[in-house]
Amino acid sequence: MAETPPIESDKVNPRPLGPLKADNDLPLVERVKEGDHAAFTELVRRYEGKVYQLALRLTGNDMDANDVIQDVFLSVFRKIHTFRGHAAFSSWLYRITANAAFARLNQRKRHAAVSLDDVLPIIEESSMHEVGSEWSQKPDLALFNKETREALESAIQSLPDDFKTVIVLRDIQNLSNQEVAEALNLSIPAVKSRLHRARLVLRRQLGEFLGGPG
Amino acid sequence: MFNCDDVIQLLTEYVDSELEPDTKALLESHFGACPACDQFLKSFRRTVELTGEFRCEDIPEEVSIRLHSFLEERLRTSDQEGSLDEG
Repeated sequence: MAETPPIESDKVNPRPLGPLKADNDLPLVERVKEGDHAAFTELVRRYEGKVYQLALRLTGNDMDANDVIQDVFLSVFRKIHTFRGHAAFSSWLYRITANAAFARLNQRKRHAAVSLDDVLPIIEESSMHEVGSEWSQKPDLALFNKETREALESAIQSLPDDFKTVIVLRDIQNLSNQEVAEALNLSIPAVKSRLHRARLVLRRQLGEFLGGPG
Repeated sequence: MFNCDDVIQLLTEYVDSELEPDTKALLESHFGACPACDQFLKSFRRTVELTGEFRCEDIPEEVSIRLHSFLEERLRTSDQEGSLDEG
């Protein structure tokens, strides 16, 4: 995760022009900065599910996710005074979570991360005129049974970290491109590029699992 | 007109409804004339939908209890010691 920024910073690339969403967390954040433990507990309750699910998707197991969320919220309490509101609080929180998740994986001395070069050939080989895309016509029941779900989950887990984070935040957590860009300190075109390539890989792997080259 | 390689590059923006109307119309014209691209689009869109099925914001109750217990203990300690830094 060479591009992952330090958690102390919530500086982001310049926002694109457009309406800004009000950050509803700011009143709570200000109270936490003043040492209000009840406000901190409320902030934790507001985000614990999202943070847990993000940690679970990024680490791939319950035990690490459990440790990560403890690290994350403790870091939030310690570092809240460094949060300046340049990005939404939630974006800052997701960035801390991603950093903590990948730090946890590195501690486990996981096998070398898959590089983009490992994935690119799969993408480059994608051809519009392959046979086998008919899998999309299968009924929902067949498409999302336990085995298919596990195959898709495994495909997501095997993505390089930079791509997995974008897919999880964008397609699973349903954040906007702008929110993902803020959370990962990327430009919106970079988010879209990673998202597109990750989706192509997942589509291909799903197709292979479902009986055709996709 | 787009060729098939152009189309593949635009699929994410298409399924996310981010294309300009003119570009979208050109793409849809291609889909109408190219069954392979149309099939590719359907499986691509389905992949995005299936990935979204993992969406969940729940935390297991025991994990939440453990988290709050951990944080309460650390905050209590910080009150006694005056700081949480490097604790």
